[in-house]
Amino acid sequence: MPLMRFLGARLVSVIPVMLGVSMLTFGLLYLMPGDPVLLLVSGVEGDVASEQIQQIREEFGLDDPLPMQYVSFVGAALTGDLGRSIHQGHEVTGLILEALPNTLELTGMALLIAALVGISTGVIASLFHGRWPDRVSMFGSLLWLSMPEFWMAIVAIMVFASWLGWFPVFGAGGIEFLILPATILGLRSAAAIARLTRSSMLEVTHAQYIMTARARGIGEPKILWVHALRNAIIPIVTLLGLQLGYLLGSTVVVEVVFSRPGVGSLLIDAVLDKDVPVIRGTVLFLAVIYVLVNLIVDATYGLLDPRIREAA
Amino acid sequence: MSASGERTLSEKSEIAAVASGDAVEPAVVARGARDRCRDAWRQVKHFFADPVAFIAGLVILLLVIAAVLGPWIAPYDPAATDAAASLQGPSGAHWLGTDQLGRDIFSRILSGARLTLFVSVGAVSLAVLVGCTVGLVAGFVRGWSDAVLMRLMDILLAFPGLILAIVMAALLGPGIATVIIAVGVSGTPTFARVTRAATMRAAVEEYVLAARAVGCSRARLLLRHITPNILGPVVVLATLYLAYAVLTAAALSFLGVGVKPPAAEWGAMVNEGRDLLAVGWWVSLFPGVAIVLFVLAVNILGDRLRDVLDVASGADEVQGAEK
Repeated sequence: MPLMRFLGARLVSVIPVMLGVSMLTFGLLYLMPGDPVLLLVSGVEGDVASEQIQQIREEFGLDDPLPMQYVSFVGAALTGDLGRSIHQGHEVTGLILEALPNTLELTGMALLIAALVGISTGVIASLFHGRWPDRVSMFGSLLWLSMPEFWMAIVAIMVFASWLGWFPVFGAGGIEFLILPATILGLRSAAAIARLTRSSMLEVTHAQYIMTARARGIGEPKILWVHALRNAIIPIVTLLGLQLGYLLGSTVVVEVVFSRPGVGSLLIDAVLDKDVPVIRGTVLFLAVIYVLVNLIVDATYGLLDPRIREAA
Repeated sequence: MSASGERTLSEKSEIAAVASGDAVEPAVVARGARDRCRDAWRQVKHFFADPVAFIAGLVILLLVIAAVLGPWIAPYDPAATDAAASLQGPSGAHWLGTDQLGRDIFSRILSGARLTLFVSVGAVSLAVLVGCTVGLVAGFVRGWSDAVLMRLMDILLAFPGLILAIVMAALLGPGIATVIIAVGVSGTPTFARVTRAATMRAAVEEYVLAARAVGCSRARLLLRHITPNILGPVVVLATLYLAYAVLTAAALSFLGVGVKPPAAEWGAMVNEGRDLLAVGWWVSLFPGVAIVLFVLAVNILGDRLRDVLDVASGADEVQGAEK
């Protein structure tokens, strides 16, 4: 039962956050410089005849009191209606769903690379604590964390796509379009994960239960993978969740550089076009996904470590 | 023991002993200014004894010099276009080549140093100022103000960092102030959380109890007793956040929502070279190298600072969370 209580408490704590997030995205329309009517329809001054403005105000309910507008905004969002883009009136939900598979594919692949490369590098570094594999991987990861991903993406395109011709340069499609952007995105997270894995493993290997396991004659591989890593993994799982937020944010940059149609490039195009309905929709969508992912991460380490359930 | 309740005699004398003993705040014990200077110098020497930290410090120093003296030491005017010298590769005349408009890239990188330093330090200052105030109040006052403030921070944290910065930039329109605010605000919740945790740890320490026992006001307690003792994690976090600020500010300008060209912003310069990879790889490459050098140096110093000040927790949060 404590597990269910723990999960319930987490779920409840998300409610005020979701309220705040929805209020902020709702408020974007009024916080953006410019007349809300124009922002919702075209974004260009003088594009709308003055007699039409009143009609639009009524159509979008802009004359209603703000709380009512907020309620109808949330109500519509809950049924999947995020409004229409100012360009050709495409439905925002449709635009997001169209772009989503590309973004999911990219973040999923990146997260996989991050977890595999990051954890194994961290474990190796901790096994060689203080010797050259440790030093090289730690300096390498710091260097990697210091490189802006948009620049790394450009350098990667320059080397692997333009000079060596191994991959197609731009666009989305098969696996060959995915490898370069996913690697750029994933290896950066891997660097952060490797550093945490190393320090977490080093902390754990001095614990008494490891000594006990050795004394009982358990083989080193089993000690490493079962006794040490299992205990070191909790902070790593937390970090993986946080990294997903980083990855969602950074897809913007990577999608722009590789000209991949995705949620991130949808957002940045909307920002550059002042397409408020699309900005609101994508931001709300990304924030909700991020909050849900963190909720799942919380639940996961409640599962991995009973002590956390007790403490909460 | 409760803060207001009556205390036994032995407890009182214990508190008095702690309050008077120099074990509480050794730095406050009267000493000459000269001694303090010597102490500080010894600490600085110890800090840079590590050769990697020394090199990193040197890189930062060079950047600061470039930021201050940029216009005087640059070989060319960073804004001067020269159609005859368009897209020249690195050479003796133009060390790092020229861009499409014939502007000298080395001179532009030098002048961009000032912009980068100004924006990143500004953003970190904003995040520290707002975040630490929130964290101190929340961690010290507790109760409903803690709940409200931290829920607000949670809402900011609900947006992936770069997305929040992009939205802020969209609200404010492109410009230097925009980037400072956007990057600063997206870092605020992390500082608030770390400061709050450190404040809560410090608030139950004996020296705070002692200060309270001798009748310190709450404001004095917070500013003179708690704040100096939680500076360690904040300083480490600020250093590591500086690296993040440089990267995020550059990303915003790269995406076209930050500092606009023709300003010599490093991220914007990388973007200008994006379509020229086949004819002028140097246009994108070198401004990026400048970013990497600066961020790497800051990261190295941040790591070193964390080791020297021995603050393990808190700073880890940023290391993973925001990068």
